[in-house]
Amino acid sequence: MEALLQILAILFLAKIFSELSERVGLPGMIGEIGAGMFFAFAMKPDDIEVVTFFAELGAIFLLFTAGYREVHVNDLKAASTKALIPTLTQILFAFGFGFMLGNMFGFGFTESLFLAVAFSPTSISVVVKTLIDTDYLSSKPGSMMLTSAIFDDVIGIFLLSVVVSVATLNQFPSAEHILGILVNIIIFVIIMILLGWKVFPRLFEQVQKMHTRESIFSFVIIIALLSAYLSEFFGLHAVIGAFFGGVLLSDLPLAKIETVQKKVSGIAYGFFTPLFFAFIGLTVETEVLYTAGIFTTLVIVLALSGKLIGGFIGTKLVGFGSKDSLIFGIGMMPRAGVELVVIAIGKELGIISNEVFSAIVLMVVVSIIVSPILLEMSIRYKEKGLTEPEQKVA
Amino acid sequence: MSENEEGTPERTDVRKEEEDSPRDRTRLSDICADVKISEVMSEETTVVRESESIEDIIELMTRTPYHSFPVLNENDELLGVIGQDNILELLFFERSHRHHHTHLMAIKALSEDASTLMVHHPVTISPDSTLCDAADLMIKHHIDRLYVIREKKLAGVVSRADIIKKIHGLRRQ
Repeated sequence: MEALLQILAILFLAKIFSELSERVGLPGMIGEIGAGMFFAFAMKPDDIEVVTFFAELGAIFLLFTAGYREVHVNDLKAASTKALIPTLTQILFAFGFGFMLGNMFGFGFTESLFLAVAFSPTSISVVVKTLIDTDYLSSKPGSMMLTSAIFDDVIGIFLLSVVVSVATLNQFPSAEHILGILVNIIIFVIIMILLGWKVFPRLFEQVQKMHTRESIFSFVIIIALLSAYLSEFFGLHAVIGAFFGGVLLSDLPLAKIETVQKKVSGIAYGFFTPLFFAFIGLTVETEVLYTAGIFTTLVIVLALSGKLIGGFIGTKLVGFGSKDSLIFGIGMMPRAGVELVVIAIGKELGIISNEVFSAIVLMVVVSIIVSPILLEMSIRYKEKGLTEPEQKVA
Repeated sequence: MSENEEGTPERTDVRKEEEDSPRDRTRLSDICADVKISEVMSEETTVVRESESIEDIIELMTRTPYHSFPVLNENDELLGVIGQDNILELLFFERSHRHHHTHLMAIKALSEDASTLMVHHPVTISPDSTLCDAADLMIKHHIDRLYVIREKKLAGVVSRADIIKKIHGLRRQ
């Protein structure tokens, strides 16, 4: 009964806070994290085992829907390789800054690695609205951001796979270990590709003929869970498999029927992912942030500047002007879902401390608030530079 | 519906026909299993080529009464579908809610040709499938039209209207 009340209260608060967040122009997930913090403060729950379980499913569904609805394999093929250089530099700098920070504070190898991976991904959707409002979506840095984000997702998932595998060793991996991890990843990928190529299309042909209610929807969910389970079996984390399963289903007509997509989206965004974000808020220890003030500040500054500097240098290397490079670097700063999944996994595995966890949650929130503002300022700065000479002529 | 002298609604032709030969559901099910999709589909289909621009597609939509168009490559293989829904969604992308401002939608909103604008996963059916198969798919999954594929190439389209037209013909026999 206690668990039922917890889920009920968290879901209710998440939706109310999410609405408030949307009304002030921020993504709903900020409100959902806030709902979790409010719940922890108001109810002070002792046992959150059931909420934790649902939150884990939330992380699985978050990445599954990212693959199922948002990735299209052909986009990857079409993405210009020109974007590879800026993508690699911004990831490299963010990753490097994260690892360096861990070392500075005397963290172990695995914890530093987790910090580095949590610094690496970007959530471009946070700044799409700003790009639209400023009419910069189709600009040179705007389209580069979109292309870069395609690679960014894939590299982020790959880094997460490696770090989770390394984490289970709990020591600096030897060449033998790394080879073992790579073999596991390759076997997993081969099995998934075979399933996606040969098994899933035939399976859905049969499933659509079934008389039982909602058979296609159920099988989409079954594949999400199966992929998650398989990846755990091969020593990767469940969320990686869920993402992969989603990508494989994303091109399967019977699994992507509009009515089925709506149901998957409904269960993911209407139930599981709000619980995941609220769980993140629920487990944040705000008092830790005060005691570890310098660390938290450095997490925020380095995570954001890593993307900014890396993005700036990368785009300069492919011939962008300084102002366009600045716009690109800022556009790469926001973090959201994947970063939170990374640290939730780190915490679940007992690798990252409460300080690191709470500081990264704060970094994600700050990046979501600050990036659109800075992006708009940088675009105005560029526009000002463009209009001034004209004014002088006039 | 017209009214007779007493002011009560006159029976429609369909109703009259039902009384003349009561509607036999089992019989219709039997018949539909014997009708091949190739007998029902419309072979003359307005198509869009993968390299066609958004302007051409919008113009096509103003000239034809159809809601969606199959997108084909140079070998006449079906790549995807472009419908009024997704064209409107992309044209008004800037006005849509933040939830729709996803990475994929932003890429689509920026694209200019059919291959990026289209939805990649149309539901297809073989010409040797039966009318029953097509009806089941449409009813169960609320699908308006199915694309008929023969050896990877688009052979035709079956819409709900095509099925109703065929059934109408069968019931009149």
